[in-house]
Amino acid sequence: MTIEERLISVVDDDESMRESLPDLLRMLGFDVQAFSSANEFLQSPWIKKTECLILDVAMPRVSGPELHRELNRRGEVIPVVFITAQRDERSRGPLINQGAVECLFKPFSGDELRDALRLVFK
Amino acid sequence: MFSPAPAAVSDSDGLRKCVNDLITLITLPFIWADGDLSQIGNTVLNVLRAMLDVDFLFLRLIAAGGESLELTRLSLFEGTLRADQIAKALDASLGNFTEWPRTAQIHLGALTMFITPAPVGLHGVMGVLVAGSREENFPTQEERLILNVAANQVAMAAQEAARLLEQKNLTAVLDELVAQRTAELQSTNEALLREIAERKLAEESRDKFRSELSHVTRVMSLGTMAASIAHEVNQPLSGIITNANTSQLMLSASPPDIVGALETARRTIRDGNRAAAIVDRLSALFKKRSVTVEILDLNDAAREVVALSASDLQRNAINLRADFLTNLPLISADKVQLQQVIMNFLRNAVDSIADHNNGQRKIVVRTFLDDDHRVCLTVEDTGGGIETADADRLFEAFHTTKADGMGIGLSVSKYIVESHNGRIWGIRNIGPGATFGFSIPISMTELSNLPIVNPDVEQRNMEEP
Repeated sequence: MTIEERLISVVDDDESMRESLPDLLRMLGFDVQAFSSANEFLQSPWIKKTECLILDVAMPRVSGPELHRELNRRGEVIPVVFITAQRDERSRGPLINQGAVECLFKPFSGDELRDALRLVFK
Repeated sequence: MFSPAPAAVSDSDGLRKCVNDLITLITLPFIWADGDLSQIGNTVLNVLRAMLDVDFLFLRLIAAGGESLELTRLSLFEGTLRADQIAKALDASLGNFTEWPRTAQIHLGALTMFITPAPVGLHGVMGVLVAGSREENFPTQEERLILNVAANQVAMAAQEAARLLEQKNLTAVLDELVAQRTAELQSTNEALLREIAERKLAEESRDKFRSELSHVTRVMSLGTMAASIAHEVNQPLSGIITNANTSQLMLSASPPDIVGALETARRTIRDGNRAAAIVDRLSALFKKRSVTVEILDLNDAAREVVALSASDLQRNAINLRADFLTNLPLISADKVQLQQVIMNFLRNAVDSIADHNNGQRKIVVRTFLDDDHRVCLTVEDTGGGIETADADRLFEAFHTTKADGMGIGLSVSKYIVESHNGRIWGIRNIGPGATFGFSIPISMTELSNLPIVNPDVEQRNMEEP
């Protein structure tokens, strides 16, 4: 492959999501790394190469929004798409205000995901 | 007025008089009991004036606090000289009074006075007693003796006075300390009592809050459970949909990735099974909840739910009217479960009104008896109403008309009402909105087991011996 593929990192404590989402993203033409926790991602060498972060909201220890704030604090400007199983419209606003590109409610369709990624890589 | 001494006094007479005077002086302290310095001074000067043939007597007393008291008895110059003038003349002629000589001469106007100072206290620290006379031979040995004894008596009295004063002050200080300590103890005691009362009140309100909270969580649990089911089931559902999307893409690629598609299909089945297992676990949890049947007044149960919904109603500016039938027959039922049904009706009514702006924002909760003698409760709202197409499916699980609804509330409500041998319904109002209701039969067997208390019978029994 001559053009280096764009790297999307997925951080989710749910295993089925860590298995299924990378496959779908690869089929959509992206390079993917999956992480089971915020700390795993923070300690990985992939931060600098990550062009989009798909981030679960409710995770044990460090939550998605906390990781987002930490990245902002470190000056790592990575577009974030939040994903959450808690279907609550009220939680969406604050996440978008915090600088997230989109917030998808699980289960989301392939089209919803594509629309969100189009916002990131426009 | 001093009487002049007799010209010739025999030695024995003089001695007898001197001894008498001394005894008088020695008994003086008995009348000085209260330690008043001016009384001491005046008494001793009066006694001395009667005893001695002198022209003036002067007493300076220095109190413990440093204040000095000056007293004078005059014969010759009565009315013309004051105590302070004599003091000034004495000080001017003799210098520091603590260093006064045993005898001296001073000049008062044109007169020459022969004086003798007797120090009060050691080196005169407490004052001085002075007697003066125009007689050159003043003082005689007897006169000196009497003056010195008088000065000593004054010193002792002054010391006693100082001691009494100190004691009195000390007593006052002690009294004050005791009073202060008593006040402190009393205020500590009051604070303690207050604290005990406050703590008791806090405990009572905490207990009340706890029992209310547990009740609220039980009544609210339908909504909470719906949310937790949603969260748990959404996780594997998300995997299923994502996997299905992936397989679709893999199969439609050219050439199709059959191996990849099979792997994602395997994962889809696994996540599907996982979702089913979660639903099983949750429904098992729901079934396990113990049913507590009690004899209850549906009005009371409904009143509690209305109270719990007060803030919800207020937030949505909804007016609720309770139209309860008085003397509603009692039913045997699980109070919390029926309250969950009522709460569900109210929530739906509030949501329906909130989603539907037609001006009227009213809910009526009614209780009544139907023709079959069933106890009924209805919740009537002015919201969006029910679509005819939905009417048959209202109580089906997962059927919902709400954007964020789960379709669980009414299906669980139906389950609860039917497990009480009751009926549940929902109808479109002739006016705006909808009415949901349920009816529960009066359990005759349960009621007949209840002890029937007839006030008249009880009254008669009490009057019998």
